[in-house]
This record gives sequence, C-alpha cells and structure tokens, in this order.
Amino acid sequence: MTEISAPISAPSADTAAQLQVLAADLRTLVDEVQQVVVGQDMVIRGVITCLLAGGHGLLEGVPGLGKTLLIRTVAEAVSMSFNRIQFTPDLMPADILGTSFLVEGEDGSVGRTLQYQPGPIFANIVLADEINRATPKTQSALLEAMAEKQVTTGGQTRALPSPFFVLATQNPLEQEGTYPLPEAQLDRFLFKINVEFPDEEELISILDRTTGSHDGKVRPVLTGERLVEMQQLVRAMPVTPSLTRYVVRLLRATHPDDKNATEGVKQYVRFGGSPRGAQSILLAARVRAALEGRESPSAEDVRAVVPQALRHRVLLNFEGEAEGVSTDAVLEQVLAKVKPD
Amino acid sequence: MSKRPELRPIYALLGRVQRRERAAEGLALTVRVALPAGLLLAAAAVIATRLLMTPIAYAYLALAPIPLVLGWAALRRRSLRATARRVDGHYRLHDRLGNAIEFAERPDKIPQDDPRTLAMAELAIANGAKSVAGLTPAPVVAFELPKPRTLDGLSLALLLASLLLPQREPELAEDRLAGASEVPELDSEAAKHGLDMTQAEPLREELRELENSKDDAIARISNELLGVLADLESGEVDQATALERLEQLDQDLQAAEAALQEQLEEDPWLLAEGLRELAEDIKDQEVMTEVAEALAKSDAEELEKQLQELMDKAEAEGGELKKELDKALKEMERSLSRSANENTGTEKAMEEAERDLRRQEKQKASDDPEEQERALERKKERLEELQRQHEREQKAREQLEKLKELARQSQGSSQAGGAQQKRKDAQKKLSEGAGQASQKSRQNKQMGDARDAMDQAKSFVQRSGQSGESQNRRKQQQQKFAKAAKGEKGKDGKPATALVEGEVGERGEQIGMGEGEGQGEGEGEGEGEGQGEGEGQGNSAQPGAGVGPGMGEGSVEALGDPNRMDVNLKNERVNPKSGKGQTRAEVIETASQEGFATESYRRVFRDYKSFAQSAMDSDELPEGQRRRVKRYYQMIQPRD
Repeated sequence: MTEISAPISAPSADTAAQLQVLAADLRTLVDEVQQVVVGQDMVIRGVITCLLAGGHGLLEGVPGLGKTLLIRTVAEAVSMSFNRIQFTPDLMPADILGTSFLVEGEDGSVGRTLQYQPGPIFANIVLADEINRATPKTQSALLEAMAEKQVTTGGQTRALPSPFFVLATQNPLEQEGTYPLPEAQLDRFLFKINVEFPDEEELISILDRTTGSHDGKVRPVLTGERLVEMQQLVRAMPVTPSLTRYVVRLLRATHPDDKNATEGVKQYVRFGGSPRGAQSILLAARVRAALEGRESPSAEDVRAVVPQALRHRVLLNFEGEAEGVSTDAVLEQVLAKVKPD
Repeated sequence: MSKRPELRPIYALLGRVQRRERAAEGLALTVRVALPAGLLLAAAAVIATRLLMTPIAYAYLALAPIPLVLGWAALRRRSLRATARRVDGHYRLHDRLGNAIEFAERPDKIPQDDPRTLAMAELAIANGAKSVAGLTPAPVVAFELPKPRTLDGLSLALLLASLLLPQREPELAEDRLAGASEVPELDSEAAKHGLDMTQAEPLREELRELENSKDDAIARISNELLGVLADLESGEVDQATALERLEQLDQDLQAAEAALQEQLEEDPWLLAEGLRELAEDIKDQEVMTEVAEALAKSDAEELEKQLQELMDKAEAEGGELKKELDKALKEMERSLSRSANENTGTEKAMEEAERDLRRQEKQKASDDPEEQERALERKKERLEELQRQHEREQKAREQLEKLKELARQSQGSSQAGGAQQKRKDAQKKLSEGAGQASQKSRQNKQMGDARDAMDQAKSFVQRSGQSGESQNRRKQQQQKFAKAAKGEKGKDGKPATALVEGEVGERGEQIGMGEGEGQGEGEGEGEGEGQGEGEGQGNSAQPGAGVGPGMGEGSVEALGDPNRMDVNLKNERVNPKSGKGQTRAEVIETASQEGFATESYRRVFRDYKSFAQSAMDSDELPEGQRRRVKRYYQMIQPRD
C-alpha cells in the first residue's frame, strides 16, 4: 500500500465543518485524478460517487477513452489496494476468487494440507476490465462478492477487504465473443457510466500530456478509513419526505403499468427499475449534494443522477431494441413528466 | 403547526410569490381562455340577435368567462412546497427554502439514528433562513401577456362575421294574429275528426256525378252517401254512426241491384259491349261523331235526340248528307250484326255442363251417396245458371239484331210515300231502340259505379279511425287465406284439399277449385304433398276423392308408403286420353270465349276480391292505386 504523504484535512466535530471538509477532500480527489485524466468530469464524479455511496460502477465506452486509466488513477489517489482482472473467455471463477492447493508439511510428519490462495478479488478496488468478455459462469463468480462483499470457495466463506469496490468496464461495440451481463449482476452496479469521446480541447490536452515529458504521477489524497468516514457522513445526510416520494414516483414511472408511465415507457420498456435503483438514486443524490458542500440533496440532484442509476436497470422490450430506442431517452421522458411535490 | 420565527421571511416571501402567481395566472387565463370564450359567446349572442331576434342583453354573457377565470385563479389551492421549489429553482438554491420549511414542519420525519442527521437538518433550516435575504418575488413570477393563437384569431373573425349578418325583419302583428288563428283551427279540426277529407275527394266527385243519375235509386243513394261523408267531416256523426248509415244504404243498394237484375231481360254486359263497339265503329263517320260520343258516354237521351235530329235533317236535306248517313247506318248495321253474333262461349259451356250433369247422373252411386248428391246438385245449379245466362244473352242478341234491322231499314233514298214513311218509322224506332239500349247499359254501369262508391265509402270510413284494427283484420285475413291456399294433406282416408279451398272470408263451406270428375277406390293412406295441374279423368287411390282435376294437392305416393304395414295395395287400370292435350293457347282462347263465368271462378274471385279489399283498407295504398285496383277487379269480375 502506498504511504500517505499528507492528509489535506482532518474531520471536524462540527457537522457543518465536516461537510465542508468532505467537500474539500472530494474536490482535492477530483483535482488529483484530473492531473492524469483529461476531461471526463462526469465520469470522474460518477466513479467518486460510487466510492462514497459504497457501490460498484460499470463504465461503458469504446476502447482508448481511458476507462482503465481513470479507475487505476482513482485507486491510486485513494491509497487503497487495487487489482486489475482482465476478463477473457477462458477466465475461470477460480482465477478471480482464488483456489486451494496442496502444501507439504514442513517436517513431513503432519502430511499435506490444502492451502487457500486468494484471488485478485481480494482488494479494495477491483478493476474488472472488459467484464463482458468472460463467460456467464465467471461473471457470476462476482455476484456474491459484489452483493455480500464476501466470497465462498471450498465450502468456506471469506470476507473481502473493506471498503470494497468493483469498477468494471465494457466495450459497447464488439458484440462478437462477448457475453452480456445478466440482469441480476447489472442490478448490483450502482452506476452505469457512459464514457464519451473527448471534445477537441480535451483531445489536445491528452496529446500534450501523453506525448511530452509529463510523468502523470498521482498523489494519494485519501485513505480507506477516511473514505469509510465520508461514506457514513453521506449516509447521515437528511432527505426531505417529498424528495423520497419523488424518487419513488420516478422509479415507479419506469414501469409500463404505472399510472405515471410515459408513452415511451409503455411502448418500449419490458421491466422498470428495481428497488435497488431507488436506493442508488437517493444515495447518489446525497453524494452529489455532499460534493457541492450542501447539507441535503435537492430534486435537481435526483434528476442529475437518474440516468446513471437507472439506465442499466430499465430493460427495453423487443420493440425498443428493434427501434434502437435508448434507455436514456426513455428516462428523459420520465423526468420531464414526473414532477416533485 | 406553528412557524419557526427564523423561517417567517421564507413564508412571507412565498406568500408574496403565491399572490403574484395568482395574479399572473389570472392574467394568463383571461387572455388564453376568457378572451376567446368571450368572443365566441359574443358571436353567438350577435347571431342569435340577428337571426332569432333574442335580446341584445345576451351579449353581456360574453363577459362571464372573465370573473370565472379570475375566481378560479384566486381560489385555486396552491402548495407552499411547490412555490418554494419554484423560488429555489429560479435562484438556483438547490431546494434550500423548500427543504428548510419541510424539515421545520416535519421534524418527525428526520431519522434519529445519527445525531449528525438532525444537525444537518438544522443546518439546512438555518441555511434556508439565511438564503431568503435579498430575494424578491418579481423575478420569480413575471407578468407576461401570452402571444395570440389561431383560436383567438378565429374567435375574433367569427364575431366580426356575425356583425355582418343582416338583422331579420320582425314579423308584423297582423301576420302573427292571422297565423295564430289559422294554425290552431287546422289543429283542432284534425284533432277533432282525425280525418283527411282530401283523400275522399275523388270519391265525392264520383258520387256527385252519380247524384245526377236518371235512376232515382242510384241518385238517392249517392246523395245520401255524400251526406254521410259531409256529416262525418263536420263532426255531426261519429264513425260508428256513419258505418251504420252506410250499412243501411248498402242494403238499399243491394235491393236496387236486385231490382235492376229483374228488370233487365237482356244481358247488360253483352248489350253494353255491343254499344261500345258500335261507338268505336261509327266514330270515324263524320256525320255520326256526336252520336258516337253520346253512345260512348251512355247518354241515352242525348243519343236518341242526336240520332233523330241527324236522320230528320238528312231526310230533309237529302243529297250528300243522306248518302253519308246511309253509309254510317250501313257501318252501324255491320257493327251490330257482328256484336249480335259474337260468341260468348255460354252456349258451349252450357252444353258441356249438360254433358257433365248427364255423366254425373249416369254414374254409379259411390261410397258416399251424400257427396254424390251434392255433386249432382252443384252441376244442376251450374247448368241452370248457364241457361239463364244464355237466355239473357239471347235477349241481348235479339235486341242488337232488332237495332241492326232498324238501321238497315233506315237506309235508302226512295221518296215514294210508303217507303219514306216506313223509313221514318224505322229511323224513329232505331233512335228509340238505341236510346233504350244505351239506357240499360248506363243503368248497369251506374249501378256498378254506385257499388264501387259504396265499397270505397265504407273503406274510407273504416280507415278514418281504425287503421290499427284494419291492419289486424288484414293480417288475420291474410293468414286465413294463406292457410286455406296451402290446403291440407290427405290423411286417414280423407282427400287432400285443393290449393284454394276451404274457409276463406265468412264461408264455412269447403269447395274444390277445379272442375271435373274424380273417382276413388281402394284403400290406403296418402301422405306427402304435391301439386299438379291438368285435366283428365282417372282413378285416384284416395277413397272418396273430391271433385277436381286442375290444381290440387294430394299425395305424391298415392298408394301410400309401400314400406308400411298398414298399406293395402291394389292395382288399378287407368285409361288415359290419347293425344297432345289442350295447349296453353287453346286454354286462353276458351277462356276468352267463355269468360271466367264459371261458378268456381266466381268463388275464387270473391276470395281474391275480399283479400284485395282488405289490402285496400290499409293506408299504405295510395288513393289513385286503390281506384286502379278497383277497376281491375271490375274488369275481371265474373260475367253472369
């Protein structure tokens, strides 16, 4: 683990101060990541939201947009253990979770024993690169780890280090030789973050940084313990009843049989968001408010996080798939229709 | 719930914003809703004033939408939370104001697990209270006049168009009074009698003509018929009374008809037909034009007068006129001769009936002597009837022969005293004879017209108030007729009924339609249905089979079902007539010569006429068509 050079601030007893410190720390974290990653503010904020909400993130984008770099940079900035797993079709569950092998006794009197060798899943931050290239069997090996933060191998359950995050990437273009993630696994991701192609200015900066003498070193600015404290502070943030009701109404409106469902939902959606979706929205809205130093989330925060929190949870029907309807467009209609009290 | 003091500025601000919201909404609704609605109402009021002459005060209704929308804007319940969200949204406060008042008003909803949650809620309230400083409602709710829409333009255009409508002239008081006095009168008349006497006008015309008849009985009956209709129209008598009077008149008419039949020795139809043909034949003779007209009209007096004057004039002037008269008299002689010798077929029918009777008399008594007796009686009646008809026709022929002879004697130009006197006597007798013949023909025709008028009057009176009853009666008669027309299957040794046989109308007697002879022997039971047409003799398997070749309905398997045990088969030999039989042309020719004057046809005619009468009783048949049907039945009625 990398040694922390200098914590930028200490948590204050005063709640207001704590919030200010949290916001400042998060700004520092973002700035640090942006030392390496050019642009992609929304993606960086999304990944940090996953960290503060204690959820997993799925990054989707074409190759070469810096998905892996971003995750590795964030991992380095928070000074936590990090493992990268490159998913391939021949990757087996044991390759991720670990395996037991025979060990000879030292004096030869005890005999041979089975010794467990932990897999790469045992880290604070796990980068599941190109997760959709692994077979469903291997993808399923992550289910328990993501939901329960533990793994079971050889009849023995082992806890994963805390905090534990899975940040996965997938390529939307190459469909051949890929295995789409099952709905159960998709639902375990807090956010699905679309990584967009950088604009002209960002591309120029990328070229300057990557083709010159810039070393691109990242300084650790947060510890795992601090991250856990920040998570607890975010979860303590109060939410008004009207906002909770708004989140529930938004989620219900993604179901075709709901009274608030839009025409797009009725026509193109097979299943709407799960209750985990509503949890994700509210948690993410809190994080967004915390990032801006506010003491409680607003309806605007909710609206801002809805696409990332629900786009992988709302399943289109055959008509929607055939017509090329995007889930984001359906969610935009829902946001336009459903208003807070 | 008491408001926290630090939040009062927030509530005050939100109150001001809400008032501004109500004002802005009132303005928007006035322009968006009240204006087009008011224009449409104004247009409707103007149109109503111009066309229906409603009071112009109705135009004030156009202002009604304004207080309505303003009242709606003022009284509509508004959520303080929604207003706070609007202010937060405008000033980008991230729901600070809304969250502050919500946390303050609902502290029970704040989780108590973590003391920092409560602290942050308090912090949110404090931040909300601080944020309100410097905020004003004006930028939040702007007063903007909505842009005009197509609907506004259309509403305005409609109002302007309605203003261009011309004002309808008010109706004058005299017109209203006149109209008011006329309409109720018609209504009351209709309500009083329920009669449309315009339908009876053709009948009344006919009766007025018959009223001038030389026959006192016809004139009197026609006059009284007119009186009944007039009384009914004026409401002096009701329908029942009118029908009673008509029945009485009908009896008088029947008596007059019987008296005429007694009085007429000659067959009026033959006589009338001869005179009609005579009129046709001499109308081309110039000198006889007026005589022909009088003859065609059956105007006996005029005929006698014209003919006498013509012959006197020709005798006096001589020359061309006399030649033309002689020519016309020759034509008259030919025409009368032809009519006198016209074959009516009665003689032939009479001979046939005599043969039938003899055959019937010679026939062995069948199993049913009563039936044999009845058949014999019918044939005797038939023969007697034909004999009477023949005698009357003979009288008519003699009359026509006599006229022919007088026409022949009236010709010539001999100026010898005896010859001239003899010719004049003949001419006088010819005039008188023609007049008498025409008079008899006219009497018969007028009697027929009076009968028609009587039937029509009855029908009209019945229809005047009993349309439903007449419909029912018609239906009943239709059902009765259809049942009778269908006939019955032969069963249990009884013969099958003829196609048109049985009880139709008021009769209870079952009579076969056809004519001829049938003989039945053997045992068996006929079943099934069949129709056959033809004539001939033969033995039927039906025991006691009734009278009637021709159309009949009997068993297809005349010997019964061979598969059944109760069948007792017996072979019978049938001697058919050889030859091609009677062709259709021969049937028509015979009918044209003999007429349809058979007894069975008379019954058929009566049945059909009764059915037609019931059909005519319905209002569905127009008056003109009703008269046409009447005429048709007059044409095809039995000649006896």
